[in-house]
Amino acid sequence: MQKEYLVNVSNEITLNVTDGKVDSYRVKDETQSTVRVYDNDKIGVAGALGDADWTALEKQAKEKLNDGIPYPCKLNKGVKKSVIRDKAVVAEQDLIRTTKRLAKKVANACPRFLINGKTQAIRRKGSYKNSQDTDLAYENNSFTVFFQVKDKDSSNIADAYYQTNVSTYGKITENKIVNDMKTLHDAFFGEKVTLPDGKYPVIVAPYDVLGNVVKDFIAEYYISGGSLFSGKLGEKIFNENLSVCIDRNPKTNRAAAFYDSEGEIAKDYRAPIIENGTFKNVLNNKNTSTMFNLPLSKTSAAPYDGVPSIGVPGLYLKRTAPDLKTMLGAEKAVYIAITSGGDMTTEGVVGMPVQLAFLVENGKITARLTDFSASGNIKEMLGEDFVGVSAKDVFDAVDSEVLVTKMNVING
Amino acid sequence: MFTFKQDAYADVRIEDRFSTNVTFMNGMLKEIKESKEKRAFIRVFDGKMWYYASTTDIGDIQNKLDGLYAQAKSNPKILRNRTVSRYQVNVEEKMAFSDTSVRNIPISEKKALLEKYLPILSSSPLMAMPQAIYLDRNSVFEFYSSKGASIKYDYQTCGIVLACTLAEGEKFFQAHHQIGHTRFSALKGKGKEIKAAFDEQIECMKNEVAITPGEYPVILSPEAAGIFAHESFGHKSEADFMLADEGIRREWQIGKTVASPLLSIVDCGKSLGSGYVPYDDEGTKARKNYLIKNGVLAGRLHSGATSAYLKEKMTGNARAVNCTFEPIVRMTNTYIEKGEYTKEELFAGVKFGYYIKSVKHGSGMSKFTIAPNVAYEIVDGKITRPVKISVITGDVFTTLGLIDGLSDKVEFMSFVSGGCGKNEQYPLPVGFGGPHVRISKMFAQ
Repeated sequence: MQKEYLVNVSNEITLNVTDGKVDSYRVKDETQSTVRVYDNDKIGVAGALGDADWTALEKQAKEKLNDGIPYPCKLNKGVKKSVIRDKAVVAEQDLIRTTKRLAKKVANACPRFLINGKTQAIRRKGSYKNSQDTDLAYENNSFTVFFQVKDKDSSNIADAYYQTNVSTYGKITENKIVNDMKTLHDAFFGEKVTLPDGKYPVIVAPYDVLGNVVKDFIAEYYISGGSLFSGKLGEKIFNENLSVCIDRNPKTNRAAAFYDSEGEIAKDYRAPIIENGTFKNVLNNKNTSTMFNLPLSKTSAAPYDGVPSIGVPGLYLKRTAPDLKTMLGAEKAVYIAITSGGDMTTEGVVGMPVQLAFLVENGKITARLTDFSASGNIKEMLGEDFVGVSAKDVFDAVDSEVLVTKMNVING
Repeated sequence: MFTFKQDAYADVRIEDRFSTNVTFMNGMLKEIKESKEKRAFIRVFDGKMWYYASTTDIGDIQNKLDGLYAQAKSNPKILRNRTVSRYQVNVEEKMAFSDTSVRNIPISEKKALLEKYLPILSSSPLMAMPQAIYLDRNSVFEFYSSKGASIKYDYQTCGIVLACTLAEGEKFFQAHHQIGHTRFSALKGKGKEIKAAFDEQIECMKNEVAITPGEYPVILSPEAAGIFAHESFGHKSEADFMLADEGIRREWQIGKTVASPLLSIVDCGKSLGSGYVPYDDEGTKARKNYLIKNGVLAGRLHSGATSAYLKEKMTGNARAVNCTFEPIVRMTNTYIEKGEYTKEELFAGVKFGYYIKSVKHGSGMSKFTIAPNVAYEIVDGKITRPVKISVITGDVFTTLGLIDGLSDKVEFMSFVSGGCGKNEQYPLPVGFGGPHVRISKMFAQ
């Protein structure tokens, strides 16, 4: 019988900002423990909240083997590794003072915005051990600033969002956030420009585009023929400059363990799906990898008391340019800040009603755009119409990449 | 039960949640589990700041409460605070599901129910990767406040979610069907309904055609109408977006015309279903709330804070997704009231347009968007061929004014998967429904 033992602990402090003032302080501490046992290609799982009685959990997990859930699984042998980033980005005792100061500065810089939002400091730590002598441990700390702002004269619930997850926080970062908010404010209230209908480079958060096709990479959909890319593993399906990974690297994903829920570690902590346009891996876990005879993708995720499935804790895209100015120069591009939903047909046609967008020239926001809908075919958006991935967003303190692709802009 | 102090307001919310998940994938058992979780959320308010903590150790609640009191400032006049003074002091035990609790049904029976429906997902050679999920939840909530509230009530949902991939050559379609209820016995004998739903989706996959993007008359099914009510106006009725916003407060005066005179939208947590909330998470009793009545703004949804700010009555809409979050203003069961047309008369009014029968998802702010699952072309008042539409979308207020017909029967939807998202809290169970709704112009692509 093989056994796995997992612990995940989160300590979360969240401060709420209403009208530029801190009005609540929330503490959440939670420990989740899991025992998984495997025997005769079957799995048994038991989990607990709070401090675990490991003997009792193991007994429960063994009893669950009687349910007969098939799960062929070969455990990782003798891997020992820990990645500990235990320094809080903002010390607990400074959180209220920091948030109050930031909210006040932002409110002063953005007089026509009503400033609501949150700051959130989370410490996550966990461990994975198994009966094959594997012993993994991690600890991450993150600090997220989120503002949901409103034009004081609008009847909308919210008019714009801003979010950044920073690795360090000091005066420089704080000033960058304030400047970003001022940029957003000034552009929001600046002159509105209408782009003639046509095809333009569109700057989006990667998941806004790739989120439409993530399920198409999952083993069950791929095998069933229900994926846009069924039968195309190993083939070039996208632009050769596009590489996409599931990201567990603590440098770029401060919210995830460096190992998946089955204790598997991808190279550079990033499991490739697309490499230079080629479909490299179908997303699976140890069960579906065996069942469908697919290479193990090291992308499993599991609830604390349940059988593993697939998880996408974050995406990492290979950068093709350090910033938008280098990528696009003076070419007119569209930065999509808020979409109102959006979806894709089974043929890959993406419809994206846009609620807030800005014109970008030379890497900077130069005007707000009137409302429009953006559309394109996902295969073209990530193929011949793919422009690149910029390491930097238009906002200075936002430390995440943006994807640029050409889409049809239809006004109205 | 707890030792409350007098110089700050405090309340304690406890949820004892039982849930079941049985999942088959491709004919094989993938998950079978019963989960039992107890969590508590504790709030202390000193008149200026709220202090919150959550715990999974019910024995540690008093300790957490004392810790929050230590952070709060002493305020001997807290009971006169405009928010605190509005909190109701209800004392009641309201158990609606004691006799039908899913806790008392063996998991083997739940598995057997699902196994009975599995063959339907393999009834056509076009079907692949069948997935069948049984889900249930029975929660017992307790609420205690420093003002003396003491409430205990239960909540229950159960249901099945069935899905498969339909594929024929280059064509494919993700087909699904969900049945949600509050009683396990109501999930039995649904084979014909399920078979018909999948047969319809097979026909869609085989025959659906692309549309030319543009503006068209649209008829929404009760499911789509319910999502429309929730997304288009329900969220705008959540009064927390008006906090500290005098401009909005002036603009959103009760009595203002905001929609077609045909339209009335209601939110009410009293009816059993996925949006059943007899008491909200601040201990306020549910009531029927008109958001729009005959096209006129008639009310909005409140927590204690928003009710105090706008000097309006409490509505029972302060809800948290679970006991790790504070309650915020949320919907419960939201629906459009019926009109006067028969369904046939409603369709007869469309020369060329689209019928949105079922929906994958919806979202909304100043614009709202619905992604249809099954949709049809309407020609000369008749449903003709199925069509592929990625989204229908529109400006909220413009579209509310373009409603030109409602059918005379309301259908309510209850769900066991998914839910409503707001800020960091997802998925919150809600219910919705309505009649068939005709809108003279929406953008479809």
